[in-house]
Amino acid sequence: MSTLYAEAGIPVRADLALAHQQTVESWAAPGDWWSASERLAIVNEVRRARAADELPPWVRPSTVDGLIDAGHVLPAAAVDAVWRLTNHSGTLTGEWYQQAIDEGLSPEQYVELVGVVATANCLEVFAAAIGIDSIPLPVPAEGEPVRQSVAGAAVRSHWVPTADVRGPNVGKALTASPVSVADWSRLSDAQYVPMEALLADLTWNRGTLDRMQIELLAARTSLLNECFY
Amino acid sequence: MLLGLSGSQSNAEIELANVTGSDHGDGGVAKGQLLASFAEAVHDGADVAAVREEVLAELGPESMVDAAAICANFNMMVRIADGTGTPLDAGTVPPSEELRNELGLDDLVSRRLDAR
Repeated sequence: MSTLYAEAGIPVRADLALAHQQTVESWAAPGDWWSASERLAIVNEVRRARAADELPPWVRPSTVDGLIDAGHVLPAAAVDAVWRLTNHSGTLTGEWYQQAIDEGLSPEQYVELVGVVATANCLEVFAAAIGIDSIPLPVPAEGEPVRQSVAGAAVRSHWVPTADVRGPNVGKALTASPVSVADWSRLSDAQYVPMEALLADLTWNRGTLDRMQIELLAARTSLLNECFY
Repeated sequence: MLLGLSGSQSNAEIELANVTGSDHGDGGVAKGQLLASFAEAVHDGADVAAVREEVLAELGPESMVDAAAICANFNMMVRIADGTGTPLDAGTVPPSEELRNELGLDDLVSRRLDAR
């Protein structure tokens, strides 16, 4: 059992708290392509981006005097991508993605970065929504990233390479980074609707909000973020 | 689309206006206006404490936590979809045309269709 929200003063479900705890532990462990220190640095940049005065989408934080330390553990292209994904995800284009790759990020590194940015924003939004502080981050674990490409991964329908798997396109999005797939699917099962019930049971609920209330929150949040998908 | 489908499954008449803003009443969803307001407050940050108190009073703490978790989840999903260039699934392009028009989705920068 997780004690992550034991002091929150609000009844957070045990399975939800555990999913969040496991996400934090995943950030602090070596990933597919980034080290634990680098993964935690991505989370920290998400927090800085959310707290900063918002930059226009076209302004890269690495070009703003004094905003990013010269000795940052992440390359400038990664920091810029973290801020853009955090604050302006609805403005992204294929050309923007290609520029990040041209500046030195590998496609697989980029996919894992998206996974960490997405899950970090998720937990930040949850904390703010229930009125608590951000979760303290652990010390990074030792060890090296796996650095092994997923067999058969190639650019198919997305900008990024994906594995040759069946299912909805969003389920394929992070398949070039198995750690990221594990992280987002664990969170989605605990926070939204378990994958097996998504289309098979359109009245599924947890006994709190009904399915229509769940889908209204999902749709309104997606549109507020200007997400077409 | 799942909002409409879940409404059909429950024999409810769902109005999609609440997806575009919280000033359209409940739209056939219980406490729909309040929940849309909560999603907006979570997104904007400004009034979240006040709207959270309203959700707590109207729906209780367990529902407030679940509402917060859903908002959090879709702040994750939009970044996965838009960060990877995820296109709309081929089988959903024609059926979603009316919905996209109604909600103005085809005007979004993140519009990506996969007609295959």
